[in-house]
Parts: sequence; C-alpha cells; structure tokens
Amino acid sequence: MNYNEIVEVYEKIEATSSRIKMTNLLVGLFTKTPKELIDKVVYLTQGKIYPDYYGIELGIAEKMAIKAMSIAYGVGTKDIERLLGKLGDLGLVAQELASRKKQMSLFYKPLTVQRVYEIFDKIAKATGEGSQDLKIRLLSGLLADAKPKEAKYIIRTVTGNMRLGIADMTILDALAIAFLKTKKYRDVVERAYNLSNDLGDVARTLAYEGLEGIKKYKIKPGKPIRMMLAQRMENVREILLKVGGKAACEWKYDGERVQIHKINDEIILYSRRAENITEQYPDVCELAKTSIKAEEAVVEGEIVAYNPETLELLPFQELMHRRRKYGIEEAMKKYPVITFLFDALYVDGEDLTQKPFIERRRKLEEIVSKNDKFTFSNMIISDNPEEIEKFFYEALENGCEGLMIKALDGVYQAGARGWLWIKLKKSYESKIIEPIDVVVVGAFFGKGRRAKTYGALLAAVYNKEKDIFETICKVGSGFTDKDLEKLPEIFDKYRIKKRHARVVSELEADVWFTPSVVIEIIGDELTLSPVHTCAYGVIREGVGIAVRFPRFTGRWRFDKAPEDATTTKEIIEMYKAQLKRIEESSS
Amino acid sequence: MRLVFPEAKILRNVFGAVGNLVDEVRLEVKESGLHLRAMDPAHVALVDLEMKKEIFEEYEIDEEKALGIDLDKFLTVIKRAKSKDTMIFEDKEEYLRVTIEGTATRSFDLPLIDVGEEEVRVPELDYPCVMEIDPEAFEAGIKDVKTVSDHATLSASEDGFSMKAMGDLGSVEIFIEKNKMLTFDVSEPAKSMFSIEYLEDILKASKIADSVKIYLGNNIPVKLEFLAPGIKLTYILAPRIEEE
Repeated sequence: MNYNEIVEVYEKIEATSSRIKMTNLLVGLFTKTPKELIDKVVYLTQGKIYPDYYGIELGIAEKMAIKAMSIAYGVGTKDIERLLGKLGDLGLVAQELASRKKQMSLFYKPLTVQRVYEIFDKIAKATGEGSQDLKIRLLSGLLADAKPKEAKYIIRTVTGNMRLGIADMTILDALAIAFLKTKKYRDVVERAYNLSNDLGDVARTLAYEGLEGIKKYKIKPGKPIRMMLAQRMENVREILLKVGGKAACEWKYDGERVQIHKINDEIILYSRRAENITEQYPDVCELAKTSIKAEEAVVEGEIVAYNPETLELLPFQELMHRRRKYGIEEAMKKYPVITFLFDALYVDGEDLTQKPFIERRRKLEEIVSKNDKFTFSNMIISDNPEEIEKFFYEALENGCEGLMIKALDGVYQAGARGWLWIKLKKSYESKIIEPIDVVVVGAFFGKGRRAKTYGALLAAVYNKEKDIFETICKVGSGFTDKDLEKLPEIFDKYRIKKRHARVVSELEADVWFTPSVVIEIIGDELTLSPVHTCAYGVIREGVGIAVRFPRFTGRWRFDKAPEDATTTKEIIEMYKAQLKRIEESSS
Repeated sequence: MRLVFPEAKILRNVFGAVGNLVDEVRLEVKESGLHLRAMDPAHVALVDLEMKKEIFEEYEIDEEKALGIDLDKFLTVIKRAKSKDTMIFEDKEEYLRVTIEGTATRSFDLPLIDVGEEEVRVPELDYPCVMEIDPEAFEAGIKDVKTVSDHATLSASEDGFSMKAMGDLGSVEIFIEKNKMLTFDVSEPAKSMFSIEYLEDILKASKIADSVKIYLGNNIPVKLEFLAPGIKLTYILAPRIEEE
C-alpha cells in the first residue's frame, strides 16, 4: 500500500467538517487497507505510531524538522523559517518546498505505508548521542522521496500536529462499519477499546477475527483499561437514591489515580489519562510486586503523598515532585507515598469488570496482603445519610477531597462517567487568609525521626463566652528540627495526667497539657469537622470547625496568654466571611 | 586485518573528499582493495571510492568484511598525522585501531558503528559526452559561476565544454576549448543543470587527482571520475530541473 493512498483520504478528511463524511472516508480507507497494515494505518491516522500508553513519541522539534527540510530540498533554514512565517504551518511549508523542488534525486522509490511507518519508528526510537542527527537524516531521506502532499503529512505527523480532527469515537464508528458492515455492534467494538486503549489492536482483532473475535476481546494486562469516572452530586440523600439506597462510601483521596498492572514480576502503572507513570513510583511498584498475591492482576487505587512523621496525608500538589525524569530515588525518599486500593478489574485470567463492585472489592482484599503503605481505601457501607455525612467530614479533615459513593452492585463501566459512582465533594470552601494563634492543649507521640519528641500537637482556640478551649486541629507540619527537639523541654512542665477541665476535646491525645503555650499557625482553609469541638453545632449540627492542612509558622507567641489566642467567635466570623461556593470542575 | 598505508596526506584528501558528502560509510575491505559507496541523505549525490591493495605497503586480511565508520571521527584521527606519516589500520571486534607511525607511534581506537546493509546501485546511463580535463580549471570555473548563481548549466558541444549561469547579479560563462582537454569525445551536444553547492563539495576531490573525467548527458545525472594511481573516486550528481 502506498502512503499516497492514505494521504489522499487525509486530504478529503481535512476538507470536511461533517462527521458522517469523515466516517465514510475512513470506512473506505480501512476497507482497502491490507490486514497486516490495518493497525499501522489506524495509528498513522491518529497522528501517532503507537497507542499513547507506550510512551513512545515522534517528538521532532520544529527546528529539527526545518533542518531536515533544508537538507532534502536544498533550501536555507532562514528561507524556510520565512516561509513558515507566511504559511503558519510547517506541513504546508513542506508541501510548498516539495512542489518547488528543482533538485532531482538519484533514486525515487514511491513511499509505501510500511516504509513511512518504519522510518517513523526509527525516528521515535533513536536515542543517545548523535540521535538528533540520525533523526534529521532519516526524515530528510523520507522527504526526498515524498510527493508534495505526502511531505505535508509526514511533517505534520513527526511534529505531532496532524490537525485532522478525527475523534477516537469516529475511528471506532468507521472500524465497526468497515469490518462488521453494520453499526449494530458498535458498542462491542467500543468495549474492546475501553478495555485496551489501543485502537490499532481493536482494528487488528476486527480485521483478523471479525465479530466473534471482538466479542471475545479480553482485558490484556499491560494494556491500560480506560478508567471509570464518577458523576458529582451535593446531597447525600439524593446520592443514596441514585445508587440504590445502600452504598459503599470511600474516602476520596487527594492524590493520583493509578491503575496497577501486574504481569508476573512486572509492574506497570498507568495514570488516569493512561500514561505510563511506572518510572515515577518505584516504591509503589515494589510494594505491588510483593503485596499482590495474584500472578496477573489489574487493580486500581489512589497514590497519596504523606508526611511519614505525622502520618498526615498531603495534598495532590506534593506528588508533583514525583513528576520528573531524574533524581527519582531522592524524590522517593523526600516525598513518600501511600497507595490506597479500591478496585480489582482483572485477576488471573478472570475479567471482573462485569461483577458487582462489592464483589470486586472482596476479591481485591483477597489478593492483596496490605501493609502501611499499600492498603485499601477507607470504606464504610451504609444507608444512613447522617453516618455518611460524618464520614465525609472525617475524610475532609484527613486531607481528602470528600467521598466516592458507589452502587454496591455496580459493574465497572470502563471509559464511562456514569451514575454508579458518584462523588461527594464539598461545595463550599472557606480559605484561610491570615494566620491564627492557637493554644497547645495536648500532643501525640511521634514516629521515625520524631520518636523522641512529639509528632503533632493538639491545638485549640479560646471560647470567651464559655471560658473554655475548643480544639481546632492537629498540627505537625512547619516545625524545624530545632523546634522539634525543643518540644518536650517546652511542654513537659505543663504536662498533666488527664485532659484539663477547661479543654473540650473529642480526640484522645497521648499527653495533655495545661493550656499555656500559644503558637501561630496558618492553614489552607477552615472546614467542617466531626472531630473538632471549635464552634461545635454552630454552623451545622453535629460538626465543628477545623483547620485543613495546618502548618506552624515558626512564631512562638510566649508573649500571649492562652486567653489571648484567637477566639471561637473570630473563627466563626472568618469561616463565614471567606465562604465561597466552589465552581463545578470536571475532575 | 592489518593495512599499512605509506602516506597519510593521501588518505586525508581522499576521505576528506568523501566526507564532504556523507557522514557514515560502510567501508568494504576486499581481496582486491578497499571499496565504499554511499549516497548523501537527500539522495542527490552518490560517491564511490576504490583503492587498490597495491598502493598499500601491507594489505593482510583474513576474510572480506565491512566496517561501519563515522567519517567525522575517522578524519579527526587522520588529521592528527603528518603528511608523510605511515598509517596502520587493524580491526579489533568493536573498534578500529588506527596507528600513526612517525617520530612517535600513536594509536587511536575508533568505535565501529552499525550502518546497515542497504545496497546502493549505480544508475546505468549512456552518456553522449565524455571529457577529461584539469580538475583545477573545473573548480575555478565553478567558483566563477558562484558569483552570480547557486546553480550552473554544464554543456558540451563539438567545440568544447562550458559552464554557464545567469542570475540577478549578471551572467557568467566559462569556456574550455576541446584542444585544451586531455581527452574529448562528444557524439552529440548535451547540457544539464546542477547545484553549485554540491559541485563545490565534490570538486574538493581535485586535490587527489591530476584529471577529472566528466560524463555529461541531457538532463540526467553527471558522472565525475577523479583518477590517481590506484585510486578511483567517482561521484554521480542528480540534475536540477531547468527553469523556464
């Protein structure tokens, strides 16, 4: 098959904006493509050479493409840049230069799809010293044999700029019609895609095995399954109605969703967008390898950064430190993570996606031997809105975004955002804009480096009307090593056997202090909390106000008496003043 | 394999001339001598080099083989030698050992590269005009033409050989009468146009040769043969399409 044949189709697709016409053109193309080339033609049509999850990209920079064009067409790079300024698209520049080309070449071999694909493949895989030059040479060799229109699409493909505007769904439509002669089985074809993220593999299966093959299409560990997504609602009662009265409610962790594939001793991690993120989490891979007891498995969870000394979960942003190519070992030590698993999609040859959620969860717990850093999401099964709401506030206070509420008998809808999973996030937030002064009323023992000191302090504000101290947060962040060392020295003289009479707390601290020392803290926001007693029942029945993600600012307020700390009344005012409705976001 | 070549300068010029056109070559070490053939990345020009084993002081091989060579690096080493130094080449599995013998004995190990096995065929063409001239006169002519254009029309008639160009800056014509040539065989007139840039690169081979043999036809690739004792360096260059 000549490359020119697919280029002709691209030209027609580019000229139309009608999805039906596009589909028909693709049907024509796929029908006349030889079986052994169908996957390559599908990838090329998507402007790539592999499914995204391979992580192999053509990635030719504009400068390199210009260099290759300069060699192939015998035109200076300055002239090409000038032409690019005029035409605005490097593909059109290549087309123009190829049609103007006066220099003949010694040999002209018509470009076949096979050859174009192979050269693209070599370009993508060239690495190391001298690979830039090799890429340029390979590309200029292709251009030397390309007709003007072929040159346009070669350049657009290598620079990652296909511009055809073909959606994956349109390609699925066209594949269904081309190989099954009807759109009747469109959903079967789409299911195969949802299970593999690989249109080329779906096309190959259709071409070789037809309807029977695609019906039998199975999860293939190693190929990312398109993730099931959740709808969003605000009212617990309404959510319960949607999911059938009784539901599995899990903390919705503020981390990175991950799909873990285990193939014997090999572990592959995929992100929500099916990118291969294995390299970022060697620690998770190691834990997955030792903790997942099945030979082959696909499980899902959330990777969350945490502070190993205070055991607090940290916000998603902390994980950004893991998004790097080099120095992963160091980042791994500095930014440790916990993986919270919540689903199993495939175990040792068995596709679980059509099984009820609760059964999948049971299977998950069966095949994973959990430990501190590789464990299951915190979950309750409940039909009681009050209980769920309390669980929700608990989740928020522990650094989570809210809850995922799942139908107990719901199947795994790969690639879909359906009503079987509904997320409950807070609909309001109250940003903290200024530091507050809190009284230390208790403390919790530390771990690791903090074994000899306290891991976190229990902080309270002053309720002037009742003359009591109401807890508002546990604070463990923001202390320097020096601060930490001094903690016992500072607090031991205030240590008392049990909770001070003027302190109101739901939490049981490891040690209690006479309210004396005032420190300054800052947090991300004020949030409702079932655990803390500050303004308990004022904003909403059964909950108080807490500081989310509190940090010590470094300022010891020895100048202040405990009664000079920020008051409950001030906290309520701050909460109300900053309260804003959260805009709907798609995440 | 052990090859000993008596004069570094010749190697410098020969491989320098090849290196103007290509970066990586597959150098075949044959019973009869060295051979390489390569095309430039844009497939516009081809170079073919033969060096007979007789011009080596020693030429010992166990078997015929092909070495993948990065010319840039190879030339860097050759340029370290003085003109009259002797050069020794030995292959050591992964690399090529190049030894320069002058006052001191200096050894360089060059990694061999993988260059694939694609065969480059030489197009079979009939040429109505074959002429042999002094390469320096050719080179000077091309430099003259370059003052007005980036391409030159080469033509031959029964009177002689000419190089012509017209550009915004004026026009130039260089004519070499047939009796000033070493050989001259024109059955019918012919002309083709070529890129100056390529011609300039190719004519750097003038250094090694006393004469250049030009095979010219109508709008077909030109063949240029540079001849020196035991060495034949051939270039084939595709034409440009005439502008009208």
